[in-house]
Amino acid sequence: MMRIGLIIVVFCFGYLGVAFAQSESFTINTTIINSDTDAPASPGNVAAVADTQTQALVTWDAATDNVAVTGYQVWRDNVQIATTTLLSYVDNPVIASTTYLYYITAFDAVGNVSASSSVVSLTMPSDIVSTPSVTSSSAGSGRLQSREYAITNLEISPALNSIRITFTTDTFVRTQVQYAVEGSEAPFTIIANQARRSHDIIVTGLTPGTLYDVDIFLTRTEFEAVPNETLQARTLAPADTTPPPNVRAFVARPTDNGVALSWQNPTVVDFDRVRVVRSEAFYPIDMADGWVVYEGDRATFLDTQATAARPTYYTIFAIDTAGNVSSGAVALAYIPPVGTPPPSPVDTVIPPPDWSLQLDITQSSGRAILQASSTFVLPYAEPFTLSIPAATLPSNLKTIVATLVSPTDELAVFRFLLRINPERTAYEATIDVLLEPGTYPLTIDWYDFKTQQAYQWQGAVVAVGMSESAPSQNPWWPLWPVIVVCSLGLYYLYRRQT
Amino acid sequence: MVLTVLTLISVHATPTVLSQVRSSSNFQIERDSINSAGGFSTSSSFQLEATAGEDGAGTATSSNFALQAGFQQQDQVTLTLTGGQAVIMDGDLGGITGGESNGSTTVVASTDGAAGYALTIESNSNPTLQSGASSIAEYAPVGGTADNTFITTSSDAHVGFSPFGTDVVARYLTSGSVCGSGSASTTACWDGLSMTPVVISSAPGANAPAGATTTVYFKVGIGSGVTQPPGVYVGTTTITLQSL
Repeated sequence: MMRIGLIIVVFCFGYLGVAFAQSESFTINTTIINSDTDAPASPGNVAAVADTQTQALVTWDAATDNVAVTGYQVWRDNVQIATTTLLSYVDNPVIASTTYLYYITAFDAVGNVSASSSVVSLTMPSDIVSTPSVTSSSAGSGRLQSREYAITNLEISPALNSIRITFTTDTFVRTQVQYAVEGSEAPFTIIANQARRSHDIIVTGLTPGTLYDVDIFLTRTEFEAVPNETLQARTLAPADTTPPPNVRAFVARPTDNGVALSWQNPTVVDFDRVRVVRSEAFYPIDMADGWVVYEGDRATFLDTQATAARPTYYTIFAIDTAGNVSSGAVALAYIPPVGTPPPSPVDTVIPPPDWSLQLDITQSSGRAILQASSTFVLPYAEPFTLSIPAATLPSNLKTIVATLVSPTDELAVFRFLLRINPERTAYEATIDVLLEPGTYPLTIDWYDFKTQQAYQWQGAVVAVGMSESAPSQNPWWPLWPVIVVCSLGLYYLYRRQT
Repeated sequence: MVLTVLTLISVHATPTVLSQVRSSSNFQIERDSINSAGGFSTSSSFQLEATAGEDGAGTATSSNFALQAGFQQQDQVTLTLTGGQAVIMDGDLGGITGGESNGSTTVVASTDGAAGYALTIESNSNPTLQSGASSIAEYAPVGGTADNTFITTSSDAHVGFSPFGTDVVARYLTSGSVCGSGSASTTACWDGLSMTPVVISSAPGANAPAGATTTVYFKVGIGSGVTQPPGVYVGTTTITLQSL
């Protein structure tokens, strides 16, 4: 029995299955060397001007390189503020009455960086939104003979409803100022009775945002009126702090030659341009959060420098003439390797943890937006603003993306960033007019960078025609005379019968 | 004594039933043995398989042959994969000037399974070759088949592979100008790596212990119009031997 047991033990380790595999892993190693060690030349002709009180425009000439210049770094006060492939950069916002030092460096594809360009200094205007163009003229209107008194230190300071003019003369003279709306034949006149050498005249009662012709006369006597300066000055326009709507239909489509970007510019009258910013990390959240690949007023751009093998994130910002910037529309481009599905920007979507999303939608007309649960009903032919109160969100929240899907084409997906407003009270995005009525599925994704989690809210925007947007707006009160007459008639018939 | 008798009975009672692969459209029996003793003992947790009365069981090998004797010796398929050394591409490539670099690794796959084997290759990352934030794309054949020639245009920066060996599958055989059939070549056919395993060699029948050699050639191509950031690009690739 012992022998039988031993034999059984010896042979009982046979296998019945035959599913085996054996693997060998090995590394592949290749070295790409830097065959270009020459840095580009420094960009030339760097210039900086104040576009507005809070916006500077920096321009430069293209740099040269033994291979090719890949881009430029914009530096302000020794801090890099932007990377761009363009030859200009709009620095916004900057602070009024502040002096900035700008310079540019160029770099090539392997990271060789040029020496700094010459440094230019720019002092932003104080109270001036549009710098008055001052034109000296001694010809005057022809009624008067010639300039007789020298004016120095002439300064023009427009305000909303006034223009302040200060200057110095080399002798004591009295001042007479004639002003009129540009091209008007009926000037107003201000006469200073006291002779002075230091003059300070404030022209009041002016219309905001209007260009005025101003003639300055200097007199020694009541009978003398010698023209010294003819100039033009524009009063300040009311501050425009309303950002433009985002572009519509922003699409990033990979092609053999790069990533083809297309969009529809906002329809607002003060739209000026767009800026397209690219990043391989995530959607750029502001105009300096990545590569500036395009700035202008076109509606298409081919980004030939995008890396096809990685997800490429784009944000396009609309900018109006006052420098206000939209929250940004976003698009993702990716050329997947063969057999590899493209990654989703949202890897894991889970419900919000312990707080709920409070989403508001408003329109500039002030029309009431009907809301039922998570569905908003609004007129389709009017821009609208998505808003989430900042106080309702975790403080570590970073990025919120709103997604609208066309009611007729589920592949037409438009994504927008919600950015914190200047008052830091809400995350907002303004959407331009919808092109057609219908139900637009609306998704809000927000990415919590602290917890590395993504959350999602789903709802819908029902865009309707104006007549459908709300119950009849016709008031009843215009009918009151008819009601009174009819009531009197009924009362008369009643009295007759009784 | 009893056990010896039982063994003789089992051998002589099955003079024409040899160990072999039996298959139908639905199943395949890799190994069999007939003996009249031993058997299976089962419980809810274990199964005991036993043979009895077997003398002279074991494995005897020479340089060309391996003898596995015993009723259940061939119940276990032995797969052996050797080689697979790290690939160091020959020469550095200029990130601006571009060019091509080559490397290869060789594996020997052996199996004693009569059904044969299959050899697959896969990349452990996507893209395979990475250096920090920079990467080199996978080679993408022009059509559905592998490319007979490694094509690098001025805008390409990619890495591809080409297997060579006696058992290379049809996709990597070339007629001389087109891949898909023909014979194996050390200069064709070029394909892109993927994180999905791709069969590169396969053959029916046992080939142990000599095995079959497959050499996988790699080529990196940088186009003249591409500025590839300098760096050491590294990736890991896995070759897997499976029994059929």
